[in-house]
Amino acid sequence: MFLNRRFSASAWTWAMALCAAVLLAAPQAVKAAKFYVDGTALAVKPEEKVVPAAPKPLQILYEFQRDGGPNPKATKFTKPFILEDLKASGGFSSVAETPVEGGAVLSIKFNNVVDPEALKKAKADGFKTGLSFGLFGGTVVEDLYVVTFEYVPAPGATPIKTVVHHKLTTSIGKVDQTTIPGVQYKKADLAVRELVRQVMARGLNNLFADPAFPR
Amino acid sequence: MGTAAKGWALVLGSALALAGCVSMPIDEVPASLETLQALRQAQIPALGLGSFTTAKGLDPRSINIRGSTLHPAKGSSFAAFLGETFATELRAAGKLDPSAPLALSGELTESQAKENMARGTAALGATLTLSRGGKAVFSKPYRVETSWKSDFIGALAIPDAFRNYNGLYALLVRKALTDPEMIAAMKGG
Repeated sequence: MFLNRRFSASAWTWAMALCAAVLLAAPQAVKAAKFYVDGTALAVKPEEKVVPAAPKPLQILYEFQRDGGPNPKATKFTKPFILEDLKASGGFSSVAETPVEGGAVLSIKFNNVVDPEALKKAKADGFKTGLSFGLFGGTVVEDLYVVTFEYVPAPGATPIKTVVHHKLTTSIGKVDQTTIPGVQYKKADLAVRELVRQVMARGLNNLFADPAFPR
Repeated sequence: MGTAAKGWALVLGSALALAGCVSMPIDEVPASLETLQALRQAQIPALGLGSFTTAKGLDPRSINIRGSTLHPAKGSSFAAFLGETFATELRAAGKLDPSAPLALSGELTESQAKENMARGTAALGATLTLSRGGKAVFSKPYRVETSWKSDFIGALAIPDAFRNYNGLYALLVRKALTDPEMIAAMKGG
Protein backbone atom coordinates (compact mmCIF):
# COMPACT_ATOMS: atom_id res chain seq x y z
CA MET A 1 0.00 0.00 0.00
CA PHE A 2 1.53 3.32 -0.95
CA LEU A 3 0.76 5.04 2.31
CA ASN A 4 3.49 4.41 4.84
CA ARG A 5 0.92 4.00 7.56
CA ARG A 6 2.72 2.92 10.66
CA PHE A 7 -0.44 1.58 12.34
CA SER A 8 -1.57 -0.80 9.68
CA ALA A 9 1.95 -1.56 8.45
CA SER A 10 2.79 -3.15 11.78
CA ALA A 11 -0.63 -4.72 12.19
CA TRP A 12 -0.42 -5.98 8.64
CA THR A 13 3.11 -7.34 9.03
CA TRP A 14 2.05 -9.71 11.78
CA ALA A 15 -1.52 -10.32 10.70
CA MET A 16 -0.61 -11.01 7.08
CA ALA A 17 2.38 -13.17 7.97
CA LEU A 18 0.07 -15.38 9.94
CA CYS A 19 -2.73 -15.14 7.41
CA ALA A 20 -0.32 -16.28 4.71
CA ALA A 21 0.15 -19.47 6.67
CA VAL A 22 -3.48 -20.09 7.48
CA LEU A 23 -4.60 -19.47 3.92
CA LEU A 24 -3.09 -22.85 3.15
CA ALA A 25 -5.03 -24.48 5.96
CA ALA A 26 -8.30 -22.50 6.06
CA PRO A 27 -8.67 -20.07 3.14
CA GLN A 28 -12.13 -18.97 4.21
CA ALA A 29 -10.91 -17.71 7.58
CA VAL A 30 -9.27 -14.42 6.57
CA LYS A 31 -11.51 -11.36 6.31
CA ALA A 32 -10.50 -8.68 3.76
CA ALA A 33 -9.59 -5.22 5.07
CA LYS A 34 -12.16 -2.44 4.69
CA PHE A 35 -11.57 1.30 4.62
CA TYR A 36 -13.78 4.11 5.88
CA VAL A 37 -13.83 7.85 5.28
CA ASP A 38 -16.23 10.04 7.24
CA GLY A 39 -16.47 13.50 5.69
CA THR A 40 -19.46 14.69 7.71
CA ALA A 41 -17.55 17.25 9.75
CA LEU A 42 -15.58 18.58 6.78
CA ALA A 43 -18.37 18.92 4.24
CA VAL A 44 -18.68 22.42 2.76
CA LYS A 45 -22.36 23.41 2.92
CA PRO A 46 -23.74 25.20 -0.14
CA GLU A 47 -24.40 28.36 1.88
CA GLU A 48 -20.78 28.60 3.01
CA LYS A 49 -19.13 27.90 -0.33
CA VAL A 50 -16.92 30.72 -1.65
CA VAL A 51 -15.41 31.01 -5.13
CA PRO A 52 -13.12 33.96 -5.93
CA ALA A 53 -14.66 36.36 -8.43
CA ALA A 54 -11.37 37.00 -10.24
CA PRO A 55 -9.24 33.84 -10.20
CA LYS A 56 -5.53 34.32 -10.61
CA PRO A 57 -2.69 32.00 -11.66
CA LEU A 58 -1.26 29.75 -8.97
CA GLN A 59 2.05 27.99 -8.32
CA ILE A 60 1.55 24.85 -6.22
CA LEU A 61 4.13 23.27 -3.94
CA TYR A 62 2.83 19.93 -2.67
CA GLU A 63 4.26 17.29 -0.36
CA PHE A 64 2.87 14.23 1.42
CA GLN A 65 4.59 13.66 4.75
CA ARG A 66 4.76 11.16 7.56
CA ASP A 67 5.31 12.72 10.96
CA GLY A 68 6.58 15.86 9.26
CA GLY A 69 9.14 14.04 7.13
CA PRO A 70 8.95 13.57 3.35
CA ASN A 71 7.11 10.58 1.89
CA PRO A 72 8.00 10.83 -1.80
CA LYS A 73 6.07 7.75 -2.93
CA ALA A 74 2.86 9.00 -1.37
CA THR A 75 3.55 12.47 -2.79
CA LYS A 76 3.83 11.00 -6.26
CA PHE A 77 0.62 8.99 -5.85
CA THR A 78 -1.55 11.78 -4.46
CA LYS A 79 -0.24 14.76 -6.44
CA PRO A 80 -2.52 14.13 -9.45
CA PHE A 81 -5.50 14.25 -7.07
CA ILE A 82 -4.31 17.56 -5.62
CA LEU A 83 -3.81 19.13 -9.05
CA GLU A 84 -7.18 17.86 -10.23
CA ASP A 85 -8.97 19.30 -7.21
CA LEU A 86 -7.17 22.65 -7.49
CA LYS A 87 -8.21 23.04 -11.11
CA ALA A 88 -11.77 21.95 -10.37
CA SER A 89 -12.15 24.40 -7.47
CA GLY A 90 -12.64 27.36 -9.81
CA GLY A 91 -10.45 29.44 -7.53
CA PHE A 92 -7.46 29.77 -9.85
CA SER A 93 -7.15 30.74 -13.51
CA SER A 94 -4.26 28.29 -13.95
CA VAL A 95 -2.21 25.90 -11.84
CA ALA A 96 1.50 25.21 -12.36
CA GLU A 97 4.45 23.92 -10.37
CA THR A 98 6.75 26.74 -11.52
CA PRO A 99 6.52 30.51 -10.88
CA VAL A 100 3.44 32.23 -12.28
CA GLU A 101 2.49 35.79 -13.16
CA GLY A 102 1.68 37.65 -9.97
CA GLY A 103 3.79 35.28 -7.88
CA ALA A 104 0.96 33.56 -5.97
CA VAL A 105 2.07 30.32 -4.29
CA LEU A 106 0.10 27.68 -2.41
CA SER A 107 1.95 25.16 -0.25
CA ILE A 108 0.03 22.03 0.78
CA LYS A 109 1.60 19.60 3.25
CA PHE A 110 -0.42 16.43 3.76
CA ASN A 111 0.98 15.02 6.99
CA ASN A 112 0.19 11.51 8.24
CA VAL A 113 0.57 11.82 12.00
CA VAL A 114 1.48 8.84 14.16
CA ASP A 115 0.21 8.58 17.72
CA PRO A 116 2.76 6.38 19.60
CA GLU A 117 0.18 5.02 22.08
CA ALA A 118 -2.28 4.19 19.33
CA LEU A 119 0.56 2.48 17.46
CA LYS A 120 1.33 0.24 20.44
CA LYS A 121 -2.34 -0.71 20.71
CA ALA A 122 -2.56 -1.37 16.99
CA LYS A 123 0.46 -3.66 17.17
CA ALA A 124 -1.08 -5.61 20.06
CA ASP A 125 -4.51 -5.84 18.42
CA GLY A 126 -2.99 -6.79 15.10
CA PHE A 127 -1.03 -9.60 16.70
CA LYS A 128 -4.18 -10.98 18.31
CA THR A 129 -6.08 -10.67 15.01
CA GLY A 130 -3.34 -12.60 13.26
CA LEU A 131 -3.22 -15.31 15.92
CA SER A 132 -6.94 -15.97 15.49
CA PHE A 133 -6.62 -15.65 11.71
CA GLY A 134 -9.26 -12.93 11.81
CA LEU A 135 -11.93 -15.35 13.00
CA PHE A 136 -12.23 -14.37 16.62
CA GLY A 137 -10.74 -10.92 16.73
CA GLY A 138 -10.58 -7.74 14.69
CA THR A 139 -8.48 -4.65 14.49
CA VAL A 140 -9.54 -1.13 13.76
CA VAL A 141 -6.78 1.36 13.08
CA GLU A 142 -6.99 5.05 12.33
CA ASP A 143 -4.61 7.03 10.17
CA LEU A 144 -4.69 10.67 11.18
CA TYR A 145 -3.91 13.46 8.74
CA VAL A 146 -3.06 17.08 9.46
CA VAL A 147 -3.12 19.05 6.21
CA THR A 148 -1.61 22.53 6.18
CA PHE A 149 -2.52 24.99 3.45
CA GLU A 150 -0.36 28.12 3.18
CA TYR A 151 -1.20 30.64 0.48
CA VAL A 152 1.08 33.56 -0.40
CA PRO A 153 -0.84 35.93 -2.70
CA ALA A 154 2.27 37.75 -3.95
CA PRO A 155 6.00 38.04 -3.15
CA GLY A 156 6.42 39.60 0.27
CA ALA A 157 2.76 39.19 1.22
CA THR A 158 1.70 37.68 4.55
CA PRO A 159 0.74 34.02 4.09
CA ILE A 160 -2.86 32.92 4.65
CA LYS A 161 -2.91 29.63 6.53
CA THR A 162 -5.50 27.00 7.32
CA VAL A 163 -5.19 23.50 8.77
CA VAL A 164 -7.59 20.63 8.08
CA HIS A 165 -7.77 17.41 10.10
CA HIS A 166 -9.10 14.14 8.72
CA LYS A 167 -8.71 10.40 9.20
CA LEU A 168 -8.85 7.09 7.38
CA THR A 169 -10.18 4.11 9.32
CA THR A 170 -9.17 0.56 8.44
CA SER A 171 -10.79 -2.59 9.81
CA ILE A 172 -9.10 -5.99 9.63
CA GLY A 173 -10.70 -9.24 10.71
CA LYS A 174 -13.98 -9.70 12.56
CA VAL A 175 -15.27 -6.19 13.33
CA ASP A 176 -18.80 -4.88 13.75
CA GLN A 177 -18.90 -2.61 10.69
CA THR A 178 -21.90 -0.67 11.99
CA THR A 179 -19.75 0.90 14.69
CA ILE A 180 -17.42 2.56 12.21
CA PRO A 181 -18.67 5.89 10.87
CA GLY A 182 -18.26 6.91 7.27
CA VAL A 183 -18.51 5.46 3.80
CA GLN A 184 -16.92 2.04 3.32
CA TYR A 185 -14.42 1.34 0.55
CA LYS A 186 -13.05 -2.08 -0.34
CA LYS A 187 -9.98 -0.55 -1.99
CA ALA A 188 -7.61 1.72 -0.08
CA ASP A 189 -6.84 3.82 -3.15
CA LEU A 190 -10.49 4.80 -3.59
CA ALA A 191 -10.74 5.71 0.09
CA VAL A 192 -7.64 7.87 -0.17
CA ARG A 193 -8.96 9.62 -3.27
CA GLU A 194 -12.16 10.56 -1.45
CA LEU A 195 -10.27 11.64 1.66
CA VAL A 196 -8.07 13.95 -0.42
CA ARG A 197 -11.12 15.37 -2.21
CA GLN A 198 -12.82 16.19 1.09
CA VAL A 199 -9.70 17.77 2.57
CA MET A 200 -9.11 19.87 -0.54
CA ALA A 201 -12.73 21.09 -0.64
CA ARG A 202 -12.60 22.19 3.00
CA GLY A 203 -9.07 23.63 2.90
CA LEU A 204 -9.56 25.64 -0.26
CA ASN A 205 -12.91 26.99 0.89
CA ASN A 206 -11.30 28.10 4.15
CA LEU A 207 -8.69 30.00 2.13
CA PHE A 208 -11.21 31.55 -0.27
CA ALA A 209 -13.36 32.68 2.66
CA ASP A 210 -10.45 34.36 4.41
CA PRO A 211 -10.81 38.17 4.28
CA ALA A 212 -7.17 38.45 3.16
CA PHE A 213 -7.70 36.25 0.09
CA PRO A 214 -7.58 38.40 -3.06
CA ARG A 215 -11.08 39.04 -4.46
CA MET B 1 7.96 -32.17 10.97
CA GLY B 2 4.35 -32.17 12.24
CA THR B 3 1.63 -30.01 10.69
CA ALA B 4 1.71 -27.45 13.51
CA ALA B 5 5.47 -27.13 13.32
CA LYS B 6 5.30 -26.70 9.54
CA GLY B 7 2.67 -24.02 10.05
CA TRP B 8 4.80 -22.01 12.45
CA ALA B 9 7.85 -22.40 10.24
CA LEU B 10 5.85 -20.92 7.40
CA VAL B 11 4.66 -18.12 9.71
CA LEU B 12 8.15 -17.14 10.73
CA GLY B 13 9.37 -17.42 7.17
CA SER B 14 6.56 -15.19 5.98
CA ALA B 15 7.32 -12.61 8.66
CA LEU B 16 10.98 -12.54 7.73
CA ALA B 17 10.15 -12.40 4.04
CA LEU B 18 8.04 -9.31 4.62
CA ALA B 19 11.18 -7.60 5.91
CA GLY B 20 13.37 -9.08 3.18
CA CYS B 21 16.07 -7.37 1.09
CA VAL B 22 14.85 -4.70 -1.28
CA SER B 23 16.60 -2.30 -3.60
CA MET B 24 14.84 0.98 -4.19
CA PRO B 25 15.62 4.29 -5.83
CA ILE B 26 15.86 7.53 -3.91
CA ASP B 27 12.89 9.79 -4.57
CA GLU B 28 12.87 13.40 -5.70
CA VAL B 29 11.88 15.72 -2.88
CA PRO B 30 9.50 18.52 -3.91
CA ALA B 31 10.34 22.20 -3.55
CA SER B 32 9.35 23.80 -0.25
CA LEU B 33 7.66 27.08 0.56
CA GLU B 34 10.28 27.77 3.23
CA THR B 35 13.15 27.71 0.73
CA LEU B 36 11.16 29.56 -1.92
CA GLN B 37 10.29 32.37 0.52
CA ALA B 38 13.91 32.56 1.67
CA LEU B 39 15.16 32.81 -1.90
CA ARG B 40 12.61 35.51 -2.69
CA GLN B 41 13.61 37.46 0.39
CA ALA B 42 17.33 37.12 -0.34
CA GLN B 43 16.80 38.47 -3.87
CA ILE B 44 19.71 36.46 -5.23
CA PRO B 45 20.43 36.52 -8.94
CA ALA B 46 19.59 33.53 -11.08
CA LEU B 47 22.31 30.94 -11.33
CA GLY B 48 23.21 27.79 -13.18
CA LEU B 49 24.43 24.47 -11.86
CA GLY B 50 27.82 22.95 -12.57
CA SER B 51 28.97 19.45 -11.87
CA PHE B 52 28.27 17.59 -8.64
CA THR B 53 30.87 14.93 -7.91
CA THR B 54 31.62 12.39 -5.19
CA ALA B 55 34.63 12.67 -2.88
CA LYS B 56 37.19 9.92 -3.22
CA GLY B 57 36.46 6.93 -1.02
CA LEU B 58 32.75 7.70 -0.62
CA ASP B 59 30.19 5.22 -2.00
CA PRO B 60 28.44 7.18 -4.72
CA ARG B 61 25.51 4.86 -5.21
CA SER B 62 24.23 3.01 -2.18
CA ILE B 63 22.91 3.33 1.34
CA ASN B 64 22.44 -0.04 3.04
CA ILE B 65 20.05 -0.79 5.88
CA ARG B 66 19.61 -4.41 7.05
CA GLY B 67 20.58 -5.77 3.66
CA SER B 68 18.26 -3.45 1.74
CA THR B 69 19.69 -0.77 -0.54
CA LEU B 70 18.70 2.75 -1.42
CA HIS B 71 20.29 3.96 -4.64
CA PRO B 72 20.08 6.88 -7.08
CA ALA B 73 18.61 6.49 -10.55
CA LYS B 74 20.45 4.08 -12.86
CA GLY B 75 23.62 5.62 -14.15
CA SER B 76 23.44 8.48 -11.66
CA SER B 77 24.95 9.17 -8.23
CA PHE B 78 23.89 10.67 -4.92
CA ALA B 79 26.06 13.69 -5.78
CA ALA B 80 24.10 14.20 -8.98
CA PHE B 81 20.90 13.80 -6.94
CA LEU B 82 22.08 16.65 -4.73
CA GLY B 83 22.52 18.78 -7.84
CA GLU B 84 19.00 17.86 -8.95
CA THR B 85 17.63 18.86 -5.55
CA PHE B 86 19.27 22.28 -5.94
CA ALA B 87 17.67 22.50 -9.39
CA THR B 88 14.22 21.69 -7.96
CA GLU B 89 14.38 24.47 -5.38
CA LEU B 90 15.95 27.06 -7.68
CA ARG B 91 13.46 26.27 -10.46
CA ALA B 92 10.50 26.64 -8.10
CA ALA B 93 11.79 30.07 -7.10
CA GLY B 94 12.46 31.10 -10.69
CA LYS B 95 16.19 31.30 -9.97
CA LEU B 96 17.56 28.57 -12.21
CA ASP B 97 19.23 29.83 -15.39
CA PRO B 98 21.70 27.55 -17.19
CA SER B 99 23.07 30.53 -19.11
CA ALA B 100 23.77 32.67 -16.03
CA PRO B 101 27.41 33.71 -15.41
CA LEU B 102 26.99 32.54 -11.81
CA ALA B 103 27.09 28.78 -11.22
CA LEU B 104 27.00 26.45 -8.23
CA SER B 105 28.83 23.13 -8.15
CA GLY B 106 29.54 20.67 -5.39
CA GLU B 107 31.43 17.67 -4.08
CA LEU B 108 29.55 15.17 -1.89
CA THR B 109 31.79 14.49 1.09
CA GLU B 110 29.52 12.57 3.48
CA SER B 111 26.58 10.26 2.86
CA GLN B 112 25.53 7.81 5.51
CA ALA B 113 22.59 6.23 7.33
CA LYS B 114 22.49 3.50 9.97
CA GLU B 115 20.24 2.12 12.67
CA ASN B 116 20.39 -0.45 15.46
CA MET B 117 16.68 -1.39 15.85
CA ALA B 118 16.31 1.29 18.53
CA ARG B 119 17.70 4.42 16.96
CA GLY B 120 18.70 5.59 13.51
CA THR B 121 21.03 8.37 12.36
CA ALA B 122 21.85 9.84 8.98
CA ALA B 123 24.15 12.59 7.75
CA LEU B 124 24.86 14.35 4.50
CA GLY B 125 27.75 16.70 3.72
CA ALA B 126 29.02 18.56 0.68
CA THR B 127 31.50 21.27 -0.22
CA LEU B 128 29.79 23.81 -2.46
CA THR B 129 31.61 26.14 -4.80
CA LEU B 130 30.24 29.27 -6.42
CA SER B 131 31.82 30.38 -9.69
CA ARG B 132 31.38 33.56 -11.65
CA GLY B 133 32.43 33.49 -15.29
CA GLY B 134 34.14 30.15 -14.68
CA LYS B 135 36.24 31.46 -11.78
CA ALA B 136 35.64 30.17 -8.23
CA VAL B 137 34.61 33.04 -5.94
CA PHE B 138 33.31 31.17 -2.86
CA SER B 139 33.58 27.69 -1.39
CA LYS B 140 32.27 26.29 1.89
CA PRO B 141 31.41 22.90 3.43
CA TYR B 142 27.83 22.25 4.56
CA ARG B 143 26.51 19.36 6.66
CA VAL B 144 23.11 18.23 7.93
CA GLU B 145 22.16 15.29 10.10
CA THR B 146 19.10 13.70 11.65
CA SER B 147 18.15 10.94 14.07
CA TRP B 148 14.95 8.99 14.66
CA LYS B 149 13.45 6.21 16.73
CA SER B 150 13.89 2.98 14.78
CA ASP B 151 11.98 -0.33 15.08
CA PHE B 152 12.60 -4.03 15.54
CA ILE B 153 10.37 -4.79 12.57
CA GLY B 154 12.38 -4.46 9.37
CA ALA B 155 9.32 -3.58 7.29
CA LEU B 156 9.06 -0.41 9.38
CA ALA B 157 12.73 0.32 10.12
CA ILE B 158 14.05 0.12 6.56
CA PRO B 159 11.61 2.58 4.94
CA ASP B 160 11.99 4.88 7.97
CA ALA B 161 15.76 4.95 7.52
CA PHE B 162 15.53 5.54 3.78
CA ARG B 163 12.95 8.29 4.25
CA ASN B 164 15.03 10.09 6.86
CA TYR B 165 18.14 9.91 4.66
CA ASN B 166 16.16 11.06 1.63
CA GLY B 167 14.92 14.11 3.54
CA LEU B 168 18.46 15.34 4.20
CA TYR B 169 18.92 16.52 0.63
CA ALA B 170 16.30 19.25 0.84
CA LEU B 171 17.67 20.27 4.24
CA LEU B 172 21.21 20.61 2.91
CA VAL B 173 20.01 22.65 -0.04
CA ARG B 174 18.03 24.97 2.23
CA LYS B 175 20.97 25.37 4.60
CA ALA B 176 23.27 26.37 1.75
CA LEU B 177 20.86 28.68 -0.07
CA THR B 178 19.91 30.53 3.11
CA ASP B 179 23.47 30.89 4.37
CA PRO B 180 24.23 34.64 4.64
CA GLU B 181 27.78 34.03 3.41
CA MET B 182 26.53 32.16 0.34
CA ILE B 183 23.92 34.85 -0.35
CA ALA B 184 26.51 37.61 -0.05
CA ALA B 185 28.80 35.75 -2.44
CA MET B 186 25.97 35.30 -4.95
CA LYS B 187 25.15 39.00 -4.84
CA GLY B 188 28.78 40.08 -4.90
CA GLY B 189 29.93 42.11 -7.92
